[in-house]
Amino acid sequence: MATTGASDGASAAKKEGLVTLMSGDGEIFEVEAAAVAALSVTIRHAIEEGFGDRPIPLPIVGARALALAVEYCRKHHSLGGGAGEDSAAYDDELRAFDHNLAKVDRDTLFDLIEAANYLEIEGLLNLMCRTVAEMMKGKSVEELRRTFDVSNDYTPEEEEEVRREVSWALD
Amino acid sequence: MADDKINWCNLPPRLIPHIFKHFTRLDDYLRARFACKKWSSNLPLTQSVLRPQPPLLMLPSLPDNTDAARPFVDIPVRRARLIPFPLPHPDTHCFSTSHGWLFFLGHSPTLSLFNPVTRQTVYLPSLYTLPNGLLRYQPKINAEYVVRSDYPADEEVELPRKALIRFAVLSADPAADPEFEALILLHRVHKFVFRFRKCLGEAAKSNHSWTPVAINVPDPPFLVRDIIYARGFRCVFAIGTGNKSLLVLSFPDGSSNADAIVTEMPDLPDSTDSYLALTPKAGGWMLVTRHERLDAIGTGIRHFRVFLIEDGGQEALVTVKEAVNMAEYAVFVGPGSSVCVDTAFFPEYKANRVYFIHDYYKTAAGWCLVGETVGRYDLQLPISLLFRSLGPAMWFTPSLRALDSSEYWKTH
Repeated sequence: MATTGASDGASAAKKEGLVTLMSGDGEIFEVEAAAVAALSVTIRHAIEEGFGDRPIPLPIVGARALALAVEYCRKHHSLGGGAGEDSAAYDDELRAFDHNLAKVDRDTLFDLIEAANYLEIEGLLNLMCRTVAEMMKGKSVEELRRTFDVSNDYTPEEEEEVRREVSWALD
Repeated sequence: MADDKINWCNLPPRLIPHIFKHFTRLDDYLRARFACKKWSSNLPLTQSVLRPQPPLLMLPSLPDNTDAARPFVDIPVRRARLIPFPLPHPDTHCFSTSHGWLFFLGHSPTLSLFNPVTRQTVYLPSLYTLPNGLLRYQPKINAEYVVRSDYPADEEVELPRKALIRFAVLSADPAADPEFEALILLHRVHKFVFRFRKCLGEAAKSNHSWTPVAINVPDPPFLVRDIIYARGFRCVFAIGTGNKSLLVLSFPDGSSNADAIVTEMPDLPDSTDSYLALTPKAGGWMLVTRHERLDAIGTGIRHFRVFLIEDGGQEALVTVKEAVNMAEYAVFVGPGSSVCVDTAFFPEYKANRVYFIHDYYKTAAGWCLVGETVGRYDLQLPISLLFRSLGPAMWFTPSLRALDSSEYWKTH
């Protein structure tokens, strides 16, 4: 993730057109304000509220997810993709980029969904949620639980009752 | 973090719907929803979040399992699911489907709707609420009823219970619209349709009957081949025998008479059968015609044609034009309600195909087989692919929506 070099502190944030972001685990990212503000509602509001010269703290976003989210913003901003795949500028290059971005492992996917939600990057949230839905399709309940490390949190009675409601779709 | 696998149950509840809105198939949605309690408690048990579903093929009861369950076949996966299917009364039969509900006709003769998924019942008025003299019981085996026919002759005809009703259709899923309407058409009665409008509260008691609605068209009467609700539920479209005319029957409020407007369509080809379906695009209807003939050596030749119906609105300017191909659409026609789906969302079905149910007769090595077959017709090629004989079948689109009032249980 060399695209987003971590800078050595808030001093660099004063450079024209840059904004500094601080991930939940304390890493500093210096990124083009225009790109992230265009795609992330949360960062746009933070900049408007005068965070411009201080690092913007993003407490629940890990460094890895933040790096990917910033990469997403940059690419989509530079290619004019705007909010996501409904926009007219969503072309083959962006499609390929999104496709590659979605090839992350499941834990990163989870972090990216949380990050996209926190940063309010609609296109990224949509992309990642659709990726998860695609992974879930056609799987049995047991396969789903294995794939997503979902613990069966029903009591046997609850499970029996819910299973009865939807039994026809389960087998 | 990479070593310590994340339990996806811990996804913040508000994000769960974001993932689940990307499902298209109801069974995928239900399985994933079921996987964890946190997910199921944050998602509705209705498919209101999903787009209209392709139908399942409902087959007759299994011989060894007579009334307890019926097989429902998912055509693309060629797999049958058993849905527990208790009949409302031992001596009833299912004669149609609409909006996820099965129509049952029983003794008396009682009419009811049953949703095999939610296992709920809605009672419709008995056929004895039909106008005086139209229907009378007689203690005769295999012809228990006498119907006053109005065409071709005004005469009394004897019919078995199973042959009383030709069509039955709902305006909406009763669980989605508590003030739904139902319409039935009787065999040998062509000048009237019978309408029931579900009322709520006190009005339900006085309105629990079938109201005759005259189809005011000059003789000969309009012989209905298929019927579908349109424009909310103030009106129905019906296609006539031979496919040469479309009837728009609208029900003005508070009137027992319907405004009938017949649009002649002389350019349309004669057909063996016709079906009306809603298209996935709002405000569009589809007419599918089936054409059967025998070639020189007696083999049946079948083809289908598809027409789009455009509704001009209240003035009943309805235009019908042929669609050479349906692009991404696939349409399911036959007994039960015909349904059109967009295969872009259901890629397991083939685009531009007509999935049909057809009864057939075949003589092979001295055996006369009578059965019903399911097939897929390619509008492009055009050829039919027959799957197999499955016995009398009906299209059925499951609805998970449950009735939320106790209203229905009281009125029967």
